[in-house]
Amino acid sequence: MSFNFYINNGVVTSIMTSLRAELFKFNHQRSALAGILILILLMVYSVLTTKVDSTQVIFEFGAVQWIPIIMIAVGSTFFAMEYQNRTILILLYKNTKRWQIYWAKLMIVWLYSLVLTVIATLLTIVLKFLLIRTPWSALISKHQTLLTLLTGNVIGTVIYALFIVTLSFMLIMLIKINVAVIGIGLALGFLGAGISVALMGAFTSLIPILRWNPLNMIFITQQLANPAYAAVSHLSFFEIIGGNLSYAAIFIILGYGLFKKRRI
Amino acid sequence: MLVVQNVNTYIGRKQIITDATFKIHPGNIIGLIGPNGAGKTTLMKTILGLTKFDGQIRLNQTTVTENQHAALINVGALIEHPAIYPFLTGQQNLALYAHDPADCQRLISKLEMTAYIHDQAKGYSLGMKQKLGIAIALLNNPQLVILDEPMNGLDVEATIGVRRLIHQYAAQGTAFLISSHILSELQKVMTQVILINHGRIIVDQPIAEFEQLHHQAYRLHTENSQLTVKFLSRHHIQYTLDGGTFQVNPKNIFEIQDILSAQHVHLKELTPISSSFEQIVVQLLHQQRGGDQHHD
Ligand SMILES: Nc1ncnc2c1ncn2[C@@H]1O[C@H](COP(=O)(O)OP(=O)(O)OP(=O)(O)O)[C@@H](O)[C@H]1O
Ligand SMILES: [Mg+2]
Repeated sequence: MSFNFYINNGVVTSIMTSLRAELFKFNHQRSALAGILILILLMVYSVLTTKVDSTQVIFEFGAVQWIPIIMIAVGSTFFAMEYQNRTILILLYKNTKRWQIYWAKLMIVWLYSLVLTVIATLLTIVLKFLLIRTPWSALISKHQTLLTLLTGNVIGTVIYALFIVTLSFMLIMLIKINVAVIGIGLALGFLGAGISVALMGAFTSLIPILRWNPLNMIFITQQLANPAYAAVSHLSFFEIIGGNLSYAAIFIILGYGLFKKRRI
Repeated sequence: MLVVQNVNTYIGRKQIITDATFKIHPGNIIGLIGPNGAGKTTLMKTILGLTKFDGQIRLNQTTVTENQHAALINVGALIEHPAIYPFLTGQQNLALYAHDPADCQRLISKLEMTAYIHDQAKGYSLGMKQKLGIAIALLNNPQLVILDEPMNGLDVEATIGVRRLIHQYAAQGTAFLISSHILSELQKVMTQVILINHGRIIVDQPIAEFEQLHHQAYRLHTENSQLTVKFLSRHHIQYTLDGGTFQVNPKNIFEIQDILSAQHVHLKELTPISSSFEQIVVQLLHQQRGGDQHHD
C-alpha cells in the first residue's frame, strides 16, 4: 500500500494533492465515523421518543438540527488536531500557499456535511417507509408535497452547512480550544434560533437590522422547505440564502486571516 | 547551498534572532549549540519560512521567505517534537510525504521500525515516535535536513543507528543542521559548530579549528615540582598546581621549556589539555556573559 501525495508541483495538481491528503487524514480520524454514528443514533432516538409524524420526516428525525452541531465538532477538531500533533509545521513549510491548506480542509469538511445529509435523508426515507403511511405525494402544507418539503430541507441543510463549516474554522482559529468551540456549536444549535426570535420580538423597530444577525441564519434549514417560516426569520427566500452565503464568505476571510497570522 | 544573511527574527514585537549570518555547504553537518532559550528552534523555524524575519535566506540561489517555500521542497525537518498523526500508522504517516515507496521502505528498515510500522502511531513510545519523526525528515533524499534535538528519547542502538544514517546521508551530500544539548553526541557527528547565545551567533567554525583555537591550557609534569614552582614564579609565569601537575597557558609553553631545560629540570609531560568540548562551550558562554555586562 503506498500513496504519493506530493509528487506534482503544478498549482492545480497541488490543490488536488492537498485535497487527497486531507481526505486521507479525514477518513482515518475517529471523529469522522463517530459523527455518522452519532447522527444515526440521534435519529433513532428521536423515532423512539417523539411522536412519529410528517413533521418528523420533514426535519429528518432531528437530523436537520443535529448535523450543524456535529459539523462544528468535527470541523474544529479536524483543524485543531494539526496544531495538537504539531503536524501544522510540516504542512506549512512544505506548502507555499497557505490558502490551499485552508481551502482543502474546508472542502473536505463541507463534503462530509454532504455525506451526513445524504445519510440522514436515506435513513429518513427508510424510517418513513417503515413507520408512516402518508405518501410522498401527499400535500402537507400550502400545496407542498412531503417530497418537496424534504428536498427543501436537504438544500437548506447543505447551504447552512457551509455557514457552519466556515464558522467552525473561524472559531477554532479564534479560540484555539476545540472543546470550547464545540460548546459554542451546541449553544448555537439549541438556543441560537430562540435567541434570534426573542431579540426581534423585543426590539421590533430594529427588525430590519436584527433580521441579518448570524443566529437568524439557521432558519434556512426550515424556510426552504416551508416558506411560512419567512414570517419568523423576517427574511425572504433569496435573502436568507444570500445571508448565509455572505456570512460564509466573511467567516472564510476572517478565519483565513487568523490562520495566516497564527504563530506556530 | 544554504545562505543565511543578516537575519533578524521577530516573534510578535520581540526580536529573537539578531543578525544571523552563516552558510551551509553540501555534506556539512552543523551542530547548533546554545543554552535554553538561545533561539535554536527559532532559527530553524526561520529557515523553514515559518516566522517573520528580515534579511536574506537563500537555498540553492532561491530565496525563502515567509510566503515563498518553493526552495524548501528538498528540505526535511524535525522541529522540537515529531509531527505525527496519531490516528495513522507509521507507514501512512510516511506515505503522506514520500515520493518513492522504495526510499520509504529503506528508511523503515534502517531505523528498525518494521515491527510496528503498521500500528497506529498513537501507541508508539517516545523513542518510536522520535524515530518516525527522523524518518519523515530523511524522506526523499533531502539536500538539507534540520533536526531539533533528534536524539531525544532514543536508546543506545537507535542513537548509533541515527548517527550512522546521518553520516551516510552526509557522505552523499545531504547537509545537516542539528541542535542538541547532548554535546558528546553532537561531537560524534558534526563537522562544524555554531554557538548561539541570546539570539546571536557567537561562534561559527569547523570543529577542528574550534577545538584547536579554544584549547585553553597545557598540562605540565616535570621531574621536580618544587624547582619548577620556583622557576616559574621567578619568571612571572602563571600556572596552577594540582598534585604534581601544573596547568599552564599555551602562550608560555616555549618559554617554559627553555627555562626548565636551562635549569636541567626535565619535562615528563607537556600536553594540551583536551578541555572537553563541554568545558569550552561553558567557557565561551561565560566569557560572552562577561562581555555582555561590559556593554550594558
Ligand atoms: N511563541 C513564542 N512567543 C514568544 N516568545 C517565544 C516564542 N517562542 C520562542 N520564544 C522566545 O524565543 C526565545 C528563543 O526560543 P527558542 O525556542 O528558539 O529557544 P531554544 O534555543 O530552542 O531553546 P531550547 O534549548 O530550550 O529548545 C526564547 O527567549 C523564548 O522565550
Ligand atoms: Mg528548542
